[in-house]
Amino acid sequence: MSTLLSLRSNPVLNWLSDLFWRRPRILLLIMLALPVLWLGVVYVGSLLALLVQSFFSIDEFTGVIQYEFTLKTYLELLRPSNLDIIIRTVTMATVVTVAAVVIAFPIAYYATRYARGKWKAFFYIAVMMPLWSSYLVKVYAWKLILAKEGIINWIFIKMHLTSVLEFLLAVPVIGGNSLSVSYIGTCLVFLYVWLPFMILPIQAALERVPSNVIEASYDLGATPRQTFFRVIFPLAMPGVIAGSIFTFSLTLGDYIIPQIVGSSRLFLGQAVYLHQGTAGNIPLAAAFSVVPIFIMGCYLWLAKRAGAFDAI
Amino acid sequence: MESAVGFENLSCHFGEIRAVGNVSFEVKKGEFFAMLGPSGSGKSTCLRLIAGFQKPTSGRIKILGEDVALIPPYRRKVNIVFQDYALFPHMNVSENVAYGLLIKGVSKPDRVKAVDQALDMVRLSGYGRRKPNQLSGGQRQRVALARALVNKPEILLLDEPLGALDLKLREQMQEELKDLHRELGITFILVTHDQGEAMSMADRVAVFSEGKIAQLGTPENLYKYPQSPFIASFVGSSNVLSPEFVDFLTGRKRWASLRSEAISLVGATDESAQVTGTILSNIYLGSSYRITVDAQGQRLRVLIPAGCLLPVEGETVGLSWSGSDFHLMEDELT
Repeated sequence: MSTLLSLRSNPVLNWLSDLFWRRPRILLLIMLALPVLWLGVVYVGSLLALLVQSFFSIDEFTGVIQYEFTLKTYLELLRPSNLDIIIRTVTMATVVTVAAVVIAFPIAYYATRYARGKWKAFFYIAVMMPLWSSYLVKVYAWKLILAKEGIINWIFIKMHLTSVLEFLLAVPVIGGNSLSVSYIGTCLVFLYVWLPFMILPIQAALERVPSNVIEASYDLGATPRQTFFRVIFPLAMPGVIAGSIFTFSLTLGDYIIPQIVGSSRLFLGQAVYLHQGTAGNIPLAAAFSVVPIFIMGCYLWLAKRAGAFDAI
Repeated sequence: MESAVGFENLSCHFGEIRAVGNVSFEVKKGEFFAMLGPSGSGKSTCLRLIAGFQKPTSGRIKILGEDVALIPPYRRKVNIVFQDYALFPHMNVSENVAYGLLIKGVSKPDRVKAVDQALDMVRLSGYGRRKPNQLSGGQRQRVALARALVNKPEILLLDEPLGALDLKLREQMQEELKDLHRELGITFILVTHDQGEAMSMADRVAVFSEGKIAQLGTPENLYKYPQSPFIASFVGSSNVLSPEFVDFLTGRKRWASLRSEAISLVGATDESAQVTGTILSNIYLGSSYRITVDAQGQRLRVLIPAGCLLPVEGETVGLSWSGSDFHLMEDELT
């Protein structure tokens, strides 16, 4: 017997490793139990609690929450002032996402197709470095950069292009007194802060496009432009979608950037913050937070229907 | 005959590494031409130079008489079948095959007709709606072939097209490719490391070694008259005879080749025996036996048909062959 079996000295460990080998599911269960509990209770549980809260309502006179199922709170979302917030946030998220794709794609493309060795390392560090410093520091830094006394204004003055900046700031809705109190400024800061979240997934997707598929397209007569739109972009689409999920949902939920940089008009995150805090209107705050979840759900469903995930 | 592809003193370097060094050859129109060689011998680089994916460092490439050094791949009248097929994963079979026509701006009805024809030709009609990942290796291979042929190229490039297929399928596809070549009458240029594939399919074979053409000729020519020990050992099951052994036999210190099946075993004292040797082993191959003999320190492989009287290991036998099968190589020894 002992000649056949090679055993370690500790019988308990022997017994355990044999058990796991014979029944791998037990090991899997032990490893997954904690994370599943965490996800199930803390994460999904609180999300469900939020969802439930959004179906309660608040008594307008007493300010007391009425624990009865009603759609009244959701109807309140459709009031012009609230609808405004939703439209403003969704528009901002859309603009930020589209701009992020436009800026991120060439960077990711360069990093995938051309950067090698040292340059690739430089690319990763350059993209990730902004994520190493505090988000608040970056946003306040941007407030200074965009302010009337800031460097951007100064550059425009030195280049005698003040009129261009003034023209931009004079555009209704997106303009303002200075960049730091305009939607243009808010958009720029969002773009800067979320850009790494767009570059990295696109780069990962492009990395998986085999070079011979691109060569095949050339071989079949497609010019570089045709190859880009018919082969490279569709194959990088899962990465674009993944990146846009980040930029879109992060913009939908953020309540700090629009508070520091931009006009004083509210974004979704700020509305949630206000209603659950000083106003004490938890049901409305909950209903507001369901909006981004709902929008993201619709977005993913549309993306799937459009075949964005076919290349996976 | 007109020339389809011509290389003139062509070199291609990747940084310090020389992939192709000063190669010249010509492929005739309508020919089935094979580039054969071990990996890293420069044969694939030559194919990529023809397709336009690689730019030559020096020298000229002509396609149909025209210098193509500055012409991008998408303007060349050649199509390629890649080793791992390189099908577009986001398109179904029909869309893959139609791609070249779509780019050219062929109208939809004409496109559909041409795609149906092409899929029919590779016996895949009815598979149009499948995605590449729902096909087997052999089917993908045929889609890649249809995708290239639907454009009616003057020259079809095949980069190890059968490398990923199993033996049975490979043999079947070899015949199909040969038939296609006969049917279409266009130029086929095949890159392969499999000598059997090159020899059985091509009209002429260029054997590459270290970025140069070691020998170019018809399969029969290569098989019977290898110019160097490398060709002899790479191309066939020939015995490569060492200069010492050849010196012993003929008095000339040169390499020589002698095909296994050209040798016959005779009695050790038989007067037709050119040399005697000791049997080292005999291996059963089904239709024949492969016998290894040691003669004067030279190992010789001999093929004899199954059913003959078998010598036993250690026995001394005589070896005999006809003078015309004994081929002295041109390479003089250094």
